Amino acid sequence: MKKNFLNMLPLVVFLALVISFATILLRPEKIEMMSKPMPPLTLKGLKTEDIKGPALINFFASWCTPCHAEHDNLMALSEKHKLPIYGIAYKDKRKDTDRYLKELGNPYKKIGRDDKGRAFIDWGLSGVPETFLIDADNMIRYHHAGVLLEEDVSATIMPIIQELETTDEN
Amino acid sequence: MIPELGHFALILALLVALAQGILPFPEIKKRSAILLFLLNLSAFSALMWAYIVTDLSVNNVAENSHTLKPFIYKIAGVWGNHEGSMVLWSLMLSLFSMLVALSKVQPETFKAKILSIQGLLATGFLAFILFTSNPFTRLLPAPVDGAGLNPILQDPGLAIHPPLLYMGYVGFSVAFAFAIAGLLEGKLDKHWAKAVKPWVLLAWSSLSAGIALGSWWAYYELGWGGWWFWDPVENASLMPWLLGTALLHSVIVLEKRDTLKRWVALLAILTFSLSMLGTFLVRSGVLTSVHAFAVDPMRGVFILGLLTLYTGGALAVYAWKANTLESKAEFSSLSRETTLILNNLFMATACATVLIGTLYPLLMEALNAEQISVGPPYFQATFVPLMIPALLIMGIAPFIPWKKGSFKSLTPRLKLPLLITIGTLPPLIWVMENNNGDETHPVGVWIGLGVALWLSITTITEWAQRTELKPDRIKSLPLSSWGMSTAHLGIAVALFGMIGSTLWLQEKVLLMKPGDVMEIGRYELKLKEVGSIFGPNYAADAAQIELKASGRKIDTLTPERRHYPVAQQGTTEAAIRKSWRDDVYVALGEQDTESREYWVIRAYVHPLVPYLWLGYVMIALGGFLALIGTRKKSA
Repeated sequence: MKKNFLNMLPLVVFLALVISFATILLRPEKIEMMSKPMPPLTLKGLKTEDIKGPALINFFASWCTPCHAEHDNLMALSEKHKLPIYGIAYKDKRKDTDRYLKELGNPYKKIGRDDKGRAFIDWGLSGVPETFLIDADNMIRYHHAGVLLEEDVSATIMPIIQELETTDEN
Repeated sequence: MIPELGHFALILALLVALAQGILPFPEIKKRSAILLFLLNLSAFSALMWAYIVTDLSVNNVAENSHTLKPFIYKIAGVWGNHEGSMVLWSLMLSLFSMLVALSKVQPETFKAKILSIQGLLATGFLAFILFTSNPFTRLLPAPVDGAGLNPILQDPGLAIHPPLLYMGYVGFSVAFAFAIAGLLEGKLDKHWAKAVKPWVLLAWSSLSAGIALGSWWAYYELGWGGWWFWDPVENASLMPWLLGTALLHSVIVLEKRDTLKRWVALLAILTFSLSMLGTFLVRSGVLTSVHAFAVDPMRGVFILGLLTLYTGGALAVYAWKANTLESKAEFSSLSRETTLILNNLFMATACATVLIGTLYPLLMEALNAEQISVGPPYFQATFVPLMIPALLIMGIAPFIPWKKGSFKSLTPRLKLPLLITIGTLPPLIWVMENNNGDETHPVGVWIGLGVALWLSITTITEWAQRTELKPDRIKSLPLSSWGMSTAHLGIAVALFGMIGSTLWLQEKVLLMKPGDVMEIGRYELKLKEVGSIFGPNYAADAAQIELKASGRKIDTLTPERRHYPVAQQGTTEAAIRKSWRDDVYVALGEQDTESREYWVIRAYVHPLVPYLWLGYVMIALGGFLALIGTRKKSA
């Protein structure tokens, strides 16, 4: 009897492993939401009190190629989804920013100028572009480093905004 | 047209594999095995054709290749992606099945069972390819050019790393099929062991070579300055290697002494299961890591299903039939058998610790606990202590005879190697510390180098005593003995490399502008300039660095930061100056964005690292020598 159990043991252990794998694989994906107060903004053109969430805060620069890549998605967010986006131009000359937005369209409700890189440090960036999602209480709920792709918008940004709206109603 | 033929060949292959799996006629099984290989080969060739002519209407080619890519990487591109690598996996599976069909494995009923199991394995993997990972899907309209191969994968080492690794993984499927057939027939004896040994050797040697190449590639290409990172995907290849090592040694015990039957059966099942688990971990995206290039939950579920079916089925056969296997041979506590059992215990335990370290974060996640990761400190604390006694015993085992040994005859034979080890260890450490100075790790140094010395000296002494150093005896020494000595010595040699490059590693990161000098170990690095260069499908910043050793100029190093515009990805090409004492390894980092004058330069000195690669080569070579030995004997 004891021998038989020993022979069964590998099978039992293996099945337990399979069950735990299956739970991980079959579980619907959860989006990690954070909840952190927004660092203060004291930039030329954009101060903390200007910001009304839910909104996106997007660090960009006209000299940054990846920013060009995400520009269409920002335009779609502001035009189609009516989501306010606040831009922060990082170490960018004013006339360069203006020309950039004239060429590609302006998705931003307001633009702050971070010429000295102060906000860059306060917000803990590692480069541009980076995007933050702010809720109605000016809490950061989501942080995206790098180019914001179309699938990021549909799979992450929009679901979080919907979830924020439903919790607000409760 | 040709891609459609390839697709059609895969569909036919699925049907043939199923026929090989379930039809009860041995003759049909044999022919199916041959046909299955030819169909797989056609599918693989069709895909390769699409890559060679860069047929961009094939989605897989458009996503992974580019007209500008060098020819050799167009070919390597076939398996540099998920779908293509699964076709390669299936091709190898059918190759092994055909080899079994053509071999002289007896009796026919036993061979038929093996072919059935291989047919069922092939059926599952072909279904996986056709339903979740079809490489021949068309893309209309075809893009103007492809998205390029992942530039990190554009390296000769990587072109042959996956085929070797897969040869190892898939090679263990033969031992798996042998074990199940043996259990079902109730015949897992010394004849079984003799028949399975060449297959295990082939798989083990290929896997060793594959892991070695991967490690070499990480060291030279990834620019991280290390050769092993306990990355889940590396662990996924290490686990079957550890169990495969145990399997190889216990098969020898079974062949010589007709014992350990159940254990051998279980090892054969688990070794291939871990190979499949490796595929599952890499392909499913359950573990995210640099290696995981296919992240698709559907694939994960499918592979998990296959794993459950095959491993679960095999373990069920084991649970049902293991009782019918009787082991009768007796041996004393000091015997070759005992040392090999100890080897098996250490290898299996080491494999279990790696498995736990790799899966623990996953299990915690399954229990909805916090996400954690298990890093190198865990593995160093668990894996390394297990290896020390294993390596010490490894040095002694070849001296001990089968059945019953005695201390009386053993002690005098070990006296010489022990004296040499004790005599050479202090001077060796003195030389190493003098050369590489700075930080020392007294205990680790003594234990590590002690073990490596002990193993190399015992291995050489055993060889010398066995041949008595007479030319005719050296000539007549069987290849299997040569294989063992070479592989064991290879472990020792690799160990010197691992210890040297871990314990005496020196690392410096400096912001440098042209003209600046960095001192590291016995070297001086002077940054001359940083310029731009252009390759066939990339542009790069390249630094000119003058290398001086003890005040004399010995070389100019040119590390690069490449940018591949098509893939929108960069790679770091480290520059390395090799010598038999150490490697100087220089990588060019970012330029500072403010003044655009300074560059981040990372430099490492890895003492003894060349011995790591030499050791790897010897390990794999030892396996292949023993393999040729078994073929010669049976011929």
